[in-house]
Amino acid sequence: MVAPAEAQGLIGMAIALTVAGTGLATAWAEKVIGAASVGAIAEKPELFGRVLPLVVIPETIVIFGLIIAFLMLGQLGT
Amino acid sequence: MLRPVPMTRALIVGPRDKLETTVESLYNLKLVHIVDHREGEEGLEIGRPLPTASEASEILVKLRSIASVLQLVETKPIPTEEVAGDLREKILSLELNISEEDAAKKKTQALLQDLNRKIDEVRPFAQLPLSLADYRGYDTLEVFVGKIAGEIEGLDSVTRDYKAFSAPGLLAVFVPKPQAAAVRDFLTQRGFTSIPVPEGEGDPREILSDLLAERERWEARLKEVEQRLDTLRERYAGFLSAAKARLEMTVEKAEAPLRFAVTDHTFIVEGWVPTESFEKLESGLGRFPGLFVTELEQDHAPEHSEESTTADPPVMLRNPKPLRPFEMLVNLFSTPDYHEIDPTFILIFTFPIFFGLMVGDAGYGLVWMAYGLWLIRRWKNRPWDFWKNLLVTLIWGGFWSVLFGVFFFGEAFGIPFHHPALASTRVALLDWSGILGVNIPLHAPLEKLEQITDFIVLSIVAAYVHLAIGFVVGLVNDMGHSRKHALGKVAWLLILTGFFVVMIVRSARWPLDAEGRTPFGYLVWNKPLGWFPRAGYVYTQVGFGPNNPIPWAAIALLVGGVGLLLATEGPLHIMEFFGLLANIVSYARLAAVGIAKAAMAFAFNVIVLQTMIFPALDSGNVVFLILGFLVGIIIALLFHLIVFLLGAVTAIIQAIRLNYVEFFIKFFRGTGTPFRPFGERAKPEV
Repeated sequence: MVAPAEAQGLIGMAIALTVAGTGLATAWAEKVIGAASVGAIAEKPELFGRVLPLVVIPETIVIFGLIIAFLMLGQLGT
Repeated sequence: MLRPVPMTRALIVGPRDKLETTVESLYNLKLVHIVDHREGEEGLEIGRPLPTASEASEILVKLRSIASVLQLVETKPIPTEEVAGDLREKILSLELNISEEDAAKKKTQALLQDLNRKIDEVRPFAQLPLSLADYRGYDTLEVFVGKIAGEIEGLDSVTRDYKAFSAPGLLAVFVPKPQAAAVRDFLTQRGFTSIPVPEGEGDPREILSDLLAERERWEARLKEVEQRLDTLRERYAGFLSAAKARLEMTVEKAEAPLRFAVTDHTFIVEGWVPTESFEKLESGLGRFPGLFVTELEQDHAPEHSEESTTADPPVMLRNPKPLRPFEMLVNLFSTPDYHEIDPTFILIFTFPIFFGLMVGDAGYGLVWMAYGLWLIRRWKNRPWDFWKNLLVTLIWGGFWSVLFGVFFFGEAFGIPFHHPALASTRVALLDWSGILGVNIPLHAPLEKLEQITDFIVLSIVAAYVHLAIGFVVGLVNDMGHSRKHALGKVAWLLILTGFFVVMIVRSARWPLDAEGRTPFGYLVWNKPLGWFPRAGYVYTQVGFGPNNPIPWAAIALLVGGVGLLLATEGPLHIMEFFGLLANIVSYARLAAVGIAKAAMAFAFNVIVLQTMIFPALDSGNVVFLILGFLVGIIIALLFHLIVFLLGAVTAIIQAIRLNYVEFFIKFFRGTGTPFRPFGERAKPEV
């Protein structure tokens, strides 16, 4: 299904907003977690394995954004 | 392989006069993970350290202080046999020597610090033509000396009755006391900060040059002392690290009785031994008369309740040797519980396969493998630390990348084996078949940059397989001790299958996509899932048309799963229902990373080809041709190095993450304590 021509520009902008917004949100979340994790690792280096998944958990946000962006890309004509 | 090595609880009882020989042979056997006895438990005291303990630890403390004074960096350990003779005497004389030097060094450093402070104080005054005595001792005058940012003008507007001396950045003003307040205000407003006048009398320039000369003298002294310490370090570094190793061993042995239980005449050691080595322990200790070694309890089926975890045996993982590096990935997260399945055997596949899917390029995979194998050869003598283990896992990752790159994505270094059907630009038309002049018989079932939706569907299939394995392992883990929790895992499995079917059905809407290919979802739905009941609910608004209705069976799976979950795990777990959906979608990172990496490689190829290689080819000039190709290839190498490293780092982290976050959380308890036999020197962790 391709959206009407006058909506194409809006869809393009929506895609950009989705990726930018989720990317920013991920970065923000990882910044906070990352700083805390490095502090924890400095105290107890063996925590590395436990902390790594915590740091990358917010990455899911941007993956969701990416999926939505791909779905919207499908609405764009070529 | 599937479970940790079985352990036997051993009990060693003997007369106290055999204590020392027992400790010695236990240390050499390196078989027993000693369970510390707690004071007063069962009415038994803990033992007292052997007489050698206090002396050895005293010397060890001295040795550590020497090492810190010398700033000794731990070098390769030297065989302890090389340290002969009386350690105590050697270390004491060395300490005497070094502490003297150290004291001299510290004193000189303090002196130098003091001198530097004085120099900093005097230096500004050396710029003005006044003696230090001129700045103080007035009854009627106020003196302002201080730093200024730039020129200060217009002091005349405050008072005419003053005398000022200035140098770049410095100002000294002498004013009668009545005008002082006004002048101070004026100066502070213009960024004047006053500095104290140093003690002493005389010409500041002379004082400064005296101080500088003195500083030079002391700096030379400091250098001398440091040089002597350097010589000492070089001479004794080997001895010190060897002595340290030996002393630490002595102390560990001598303090071992603190972990034993004792009575007036006997001692008791409790510990875990790998069941298969129990006989070795028995025969090793049986040589000593009066020593009694026995098996306390054989750990049978995983009979496991929440509070018994403290008494659990320590965990030693053992997998076939080529697969052992993957244990590192498990231990990095946490040591498995003694009663649960060792997930290493799953990581052996999932980690490198995910890595391979994300890299998905025959060229990069081949380079990874070659580089990894070369590095392993170079690291032949290196102990199996974190990096070496990681390297082996990555070589496997490279292997899978090659497989996926050749048979699945048909791509090497961002250039496909065959160009896409709709390609129009010269760069997009470039493919390996054209470059090599041979028609490569392998056609990519999935062109990364063209079939994005298909790649995502593939990720969802990977998610289903991975998560289902996780739930099955959790089911096996829970079966032993709680039927209820095991049923909970079944409920999750049902929900997962329901989600999976609905997603696949959604992606199977049309048999052909815009480019005339059959979408992956359609293939999966009709081939492997062809048996699934088709009848269902049509919901066109979200893409479930008459060709692909939401199957009633999938809805039943979801509803039934939720019902079972409510019955077994309780209403709180319903919150995780959507968490599971998020987990499945989270696997789309396989597609995202794979596509991003391929797109980056493609973009770099475009840059190099369009700006260097193609113009050189078209010029028809031999010099241009050679030059263009040379520069182009060098830059292409650099670009591909970036893609290679960046792609690998992301792929490693994401592959680990999928296993840790999405997979392990489904079943992994990880509350075990690692098996550390008495006598094995603690290895530094990651």
